[in-house]
Amino acid sequence: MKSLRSRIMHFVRHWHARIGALAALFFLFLSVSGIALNHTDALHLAKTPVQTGWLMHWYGLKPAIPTHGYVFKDGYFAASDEQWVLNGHELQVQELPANKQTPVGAIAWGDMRAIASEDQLYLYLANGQQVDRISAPMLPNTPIKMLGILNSDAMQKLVLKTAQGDFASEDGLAWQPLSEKELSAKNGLVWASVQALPESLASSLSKSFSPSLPLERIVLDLHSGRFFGSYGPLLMDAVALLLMILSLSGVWIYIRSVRRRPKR
Amino acid sequence: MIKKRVTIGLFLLVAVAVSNVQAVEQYLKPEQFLTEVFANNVPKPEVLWVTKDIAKQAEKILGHAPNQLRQRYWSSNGKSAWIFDEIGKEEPITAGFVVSDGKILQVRVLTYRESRGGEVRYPAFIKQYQGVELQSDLHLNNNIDGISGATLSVNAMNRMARLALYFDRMTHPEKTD
Repeated sequence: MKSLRSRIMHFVRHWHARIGALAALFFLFLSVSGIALNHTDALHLAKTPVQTGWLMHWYGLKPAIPTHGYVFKDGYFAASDEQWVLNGHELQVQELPANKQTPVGAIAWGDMRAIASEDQLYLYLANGQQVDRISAPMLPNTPIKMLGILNSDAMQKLVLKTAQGDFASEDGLAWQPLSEKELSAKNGLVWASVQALPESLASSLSKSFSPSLPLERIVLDLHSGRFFGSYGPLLMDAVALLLMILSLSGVWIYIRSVRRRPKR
Repeated sequence: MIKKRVTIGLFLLVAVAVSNVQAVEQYLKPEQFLTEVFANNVPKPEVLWVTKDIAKQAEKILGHAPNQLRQRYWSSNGKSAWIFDEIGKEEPITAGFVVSDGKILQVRVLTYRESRGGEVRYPAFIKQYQGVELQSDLHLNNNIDGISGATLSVNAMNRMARLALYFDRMTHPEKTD
């Protein structure tokens, strides 16, 4: 009959192997995801957006597709709280969404598209390339209330409406108060106005405004277990407990085997 | 007596706490920086158009396309001041650079938005840029000592310093190759 020690040893070895096999998949996943998170910059995890429908649904993110925006002859500008989109190109707007800049106007200005929030004026090319960002100190006055274009003498001037009056500029840098003569040229002064976005833009808007998350967030949530809701971290706690049991049983088995090793 | 040889392995479990706390610190407004540089006699802004050739070189420096096609700068008495935004890890750092005679005269961090690495604003770090020039390979001619835990912010500062020197060089076409 086997001794008690021998039976305990058998029991520990047996369960060490079982727990090891059970936890192996988790450990592999945690190791791989941990390494990935350690090298998030090299792997561009933060800059890789994921838009998969079921995943966004799982996170409770619903598309917020704007129905109104600014329509130009050859394109459009539409905005949500999270994104600004010009002709299907997502614009890189600094301080969005932290400061939730709400556009007050967007208008075509020659080759450029001017977009204004209350304290910023952005100039872009039609392909979404940023030309300039002019902030409050460089503007004649803030908050900007409206954005317009003055067509005069074969030159288009950009016009800002502020509480202190209207100001016009040929380059977006030097601003002059709009003269009475220019103000009276009703036909030449056009203010940007919000319009209903046409149906033909539906697919482009749907694609541009679909919610997305950085891959880093998803890997991090999987790694911590938060991906699986409130019970996820408990699952990961259980896996951590398994790792502790494996460590202790492994050390115990090692010590036992060393003791048994015959002397030379 | 039986010798016991027990080797104890230590398992270190490292818990990585990921903080999403984001601190936006504006240390200096752009207009304050310019007033500091030009002593209350701030010149009108000038414009450097980032042409395809300039953009190509700027991309070599930044590792990405330049943020905008029209770069404003302020120039007077042989020195030029540049304000850039460059992402350190995730958020842009806004910094001002003053260049004179192809050398960096002054650097200031205006706004820092990352949660870690704000040490790049300290004089002990930024004074390293004084007198630094741009080599022909578009790298700085002096090594800038990094800061532990702020590597990405230091790299962003280095890129902006190189860009300021390169853009300044582009405003003096007669001096360029």
